[in-house]
Amino acid sequence: MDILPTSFKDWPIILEINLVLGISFLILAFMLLCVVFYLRIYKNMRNSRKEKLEILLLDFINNYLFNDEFDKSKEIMEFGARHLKTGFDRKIALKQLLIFHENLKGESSALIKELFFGLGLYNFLISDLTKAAWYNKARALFVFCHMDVKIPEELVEPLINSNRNEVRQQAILYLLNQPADNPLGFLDKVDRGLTLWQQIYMEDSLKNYPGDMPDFSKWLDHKIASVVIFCLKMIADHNQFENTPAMLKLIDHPDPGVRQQAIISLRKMEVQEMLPILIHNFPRESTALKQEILKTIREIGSEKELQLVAPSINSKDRALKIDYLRIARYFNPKIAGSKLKAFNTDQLGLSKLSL
Amino acid sequence: MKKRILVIEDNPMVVKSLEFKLNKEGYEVFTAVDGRNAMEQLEAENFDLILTDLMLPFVSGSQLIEHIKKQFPSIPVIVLSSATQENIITDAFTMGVDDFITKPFSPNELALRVKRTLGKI
Amino acid sequence: MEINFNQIIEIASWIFLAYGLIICAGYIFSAIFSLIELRDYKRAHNFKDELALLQSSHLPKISVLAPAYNEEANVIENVRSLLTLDYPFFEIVVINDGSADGTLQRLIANFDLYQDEMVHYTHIRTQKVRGVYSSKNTAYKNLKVIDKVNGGKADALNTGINCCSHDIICCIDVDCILERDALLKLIKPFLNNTKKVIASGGIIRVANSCTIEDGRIIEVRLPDTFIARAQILEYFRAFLMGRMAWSRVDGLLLISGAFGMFDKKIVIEAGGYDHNTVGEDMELLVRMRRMMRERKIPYTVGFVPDPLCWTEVPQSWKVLHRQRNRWTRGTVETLTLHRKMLFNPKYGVLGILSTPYWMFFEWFAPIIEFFGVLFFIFLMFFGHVNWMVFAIFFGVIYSFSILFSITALFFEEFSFQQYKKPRYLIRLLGTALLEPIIYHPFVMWAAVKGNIDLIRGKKSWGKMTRTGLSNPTKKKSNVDSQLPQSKAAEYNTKKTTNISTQTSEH
Repeated sequence: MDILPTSFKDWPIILEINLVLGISFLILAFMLLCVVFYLRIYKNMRNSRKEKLEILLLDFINNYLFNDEFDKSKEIMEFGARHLKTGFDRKIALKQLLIFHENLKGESSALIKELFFGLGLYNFLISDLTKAAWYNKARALFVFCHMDVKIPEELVEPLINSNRNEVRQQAILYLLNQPADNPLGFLDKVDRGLTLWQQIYMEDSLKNYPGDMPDFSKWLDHKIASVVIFCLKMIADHNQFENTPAMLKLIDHPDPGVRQQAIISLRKMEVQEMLPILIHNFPRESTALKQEILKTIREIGSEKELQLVAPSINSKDRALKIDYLRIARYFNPKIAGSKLKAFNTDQLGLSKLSL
Repeated sequence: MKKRILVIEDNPMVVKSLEFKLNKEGYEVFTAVDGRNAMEQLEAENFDLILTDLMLPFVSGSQLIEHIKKQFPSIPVIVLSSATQENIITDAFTMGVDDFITKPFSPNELALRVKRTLGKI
Repeated sequence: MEINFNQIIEIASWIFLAYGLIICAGYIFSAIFSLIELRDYKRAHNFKDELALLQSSHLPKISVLAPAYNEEANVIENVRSLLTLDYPFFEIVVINDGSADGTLQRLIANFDLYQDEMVHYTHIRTQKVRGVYSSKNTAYKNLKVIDKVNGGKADALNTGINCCSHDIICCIDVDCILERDALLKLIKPFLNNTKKVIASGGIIRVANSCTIEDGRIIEVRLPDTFIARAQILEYFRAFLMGRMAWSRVDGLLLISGAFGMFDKKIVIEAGGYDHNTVGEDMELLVRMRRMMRERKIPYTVGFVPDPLCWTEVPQSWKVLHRQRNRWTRGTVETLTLHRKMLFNPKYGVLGILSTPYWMFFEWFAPIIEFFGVLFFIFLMFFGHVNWMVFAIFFGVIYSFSILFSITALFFEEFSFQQYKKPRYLIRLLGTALLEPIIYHPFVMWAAVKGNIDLIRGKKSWGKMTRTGLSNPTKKKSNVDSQLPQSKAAEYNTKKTTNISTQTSEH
């Protein structure tokens, strides 16, 4: 123990620091451990409450929907008063109702809405919407949108320009799902690009849009490329053939993403008129777009067009060459056999090719 | 005798509602929450109709349908799925399913289609 | 002599303190960042609404690439389970990397495969492809099997990249267990970003002792062996704290090879997986990020904290040693290959934070620690150990590691709480108390040994450092000269579940 008694006195500071650090680590660790245990107990209690309530809800809702002998007004009052006391309870109820609403339609959806109002969930969500936390706002909008419940528009409008992507998305979707003449009117106000995610949800909402599909060509000159791309997708999905002249112009759009989507959409609509433009543009396009053009030729063109672009395929561009050969074989199964063989076997001797 | 229906679906809410509704319509309802359990029940018992989802745990709906059409070609199959893509629906009919109901579904309409499909055989 | 020793000891202890403080700071930052990231993630995914995604026809199509080497025993079951993933458009590409057993025959027989004569791309040079198989059966139309000459995991994945049809690839280990919604969850970063997303990765969970039926986790159980439990704590620290925090500052350098999604075009442009490093998963992401940075294209890498992928971790000390040895070599190789990025502000967060972090904490830490132990033994040998001082120093290190593990445990409780039984919590706590004494020194030694092996084998690895970002295909002869047997042996024990763990004891 006392081999170095003098040196011990020489550096007590460092030891002290270490000692203090060590002890504080232990105290912190202990405190965190208490938090862990607390979290565990808290979550367990919540979970068991949730499971119980879910079973009750499932039974209650099924009776409400399918049991003709069920005393609806009386039971709804009773259930609300007895089982839905806290915000947490209401959230669980909302979740269950949403699942029902998502899976059932026809006469059942009206009954589900009845339950939504009857259990006081509307007021609960309206107060959430006016509260500050963004995730509560997003959820409230989500539920209103999915339950097809109309709320005062002045509550939604300011949220379109929310800083949180999630709130913006829910606000957009809510507005999109409102039975109005112009479901995409908000696109004029959009100042940030639409993510693919938002586009997919918008596409999904439009599928269920009850009115006449809006004319998507209105936004083909929008300053944001992703809005144009979205509209191009929708034109093809909804077969708005009257818009093909406007779309053909976009094959020369400065943004390559727009050009690509224009080709894809026109291909889906089988617009033969674009083939000459594509063949003309082929030499100066990037490989990705060249591949898109080749695919278009395969689907709506013929061997003639394929031969027209062939001279512009650089022999070093292997991916394009392979695409070309595949399509050549597709048009004319006889010719390509030996050529393809050559392609497959020489893959180890590609010294000339830079990839 | 009551007609026996096997419902294969992994969403507990849908299972419960289908059970409730079809019971009310006077059918005997059996449920399986995944493809594997469904296989076991198919081996053990006889059914008059099968109502199945396409996306299922363990054994996918299409694998299950293949199996049913091979082993029990006489049992009609109705698909209940959230898929609306055309090719998925076409594939299902190619495999020989009798009807395709998309979610969200109307319980009354579903009951009618079940009745119609059972009436055909 | 006495004074000299004291001076050495004093200098050593100040270095110790400084190093310790840096680690503490790193720890506090990662704890705070991952707390914010996890909280935001949970809030943003408050409500499940995947129906719209499943119904969309504009969702990017995914090719799942699963390399298989001598997997005869489980391959059928694993592929069946992969085919039941929830996603509207995906294909499963199994790459049989020259297996010596009946892997291919079993696949052909079970899935009614026939040889497809289709030409495939050769974006990346690989070993020879012997055949591409598709199924005659509609139920398996999403399945493609590629039979090729053995070339290692990187080569197998590159072949998959050449032969697959979709633009997003998801690379997995064929023996890992995926949750059904794994693809849907992992694709989200790609959809939900205005920036270009080049890759996204997920958390790897430990599957040992869990109840698994038909390729699905039925019940999550805590492993019975200490060694596996210690790895659970390590994975918590690495994923829930480490990666989560790195993801917050967009400085992720590693997506586990066991489960990661990539933009195929970017992977091809970067040159695909590198056969010449044992850490091909880390190396690829670093190379992709470096390329994007050098081209000045804004981009990001996504990270999804949901438990989506489960894998078996080594249960024997020997296998663990080999795994950690390899991870160390992979890290060192990647860092030396991309040493240009170190401390280089041109590479942003990667240059000033991520790569230095990896160098100091992942590469140097075990070495420094090792020398610390040597120094201690040296002092003991000369009888200069003050046991009081030793006890205090040891106490600091020990209490810090406990604090670290318990924080990680807290994150698990806060986020996903997979180990439901109270008993599990107590056992994990016990593991946290023992881990710094029993498990940690072993892992440290494996890392040091990795460095030694790397220096010893310098000649054979020497060529690699010249490659950098340039064309990996030029190194053909180099690949051929490697013994296929040794490659294969490595393949088998290889779980690419590379994780980063900030260690504390130095």
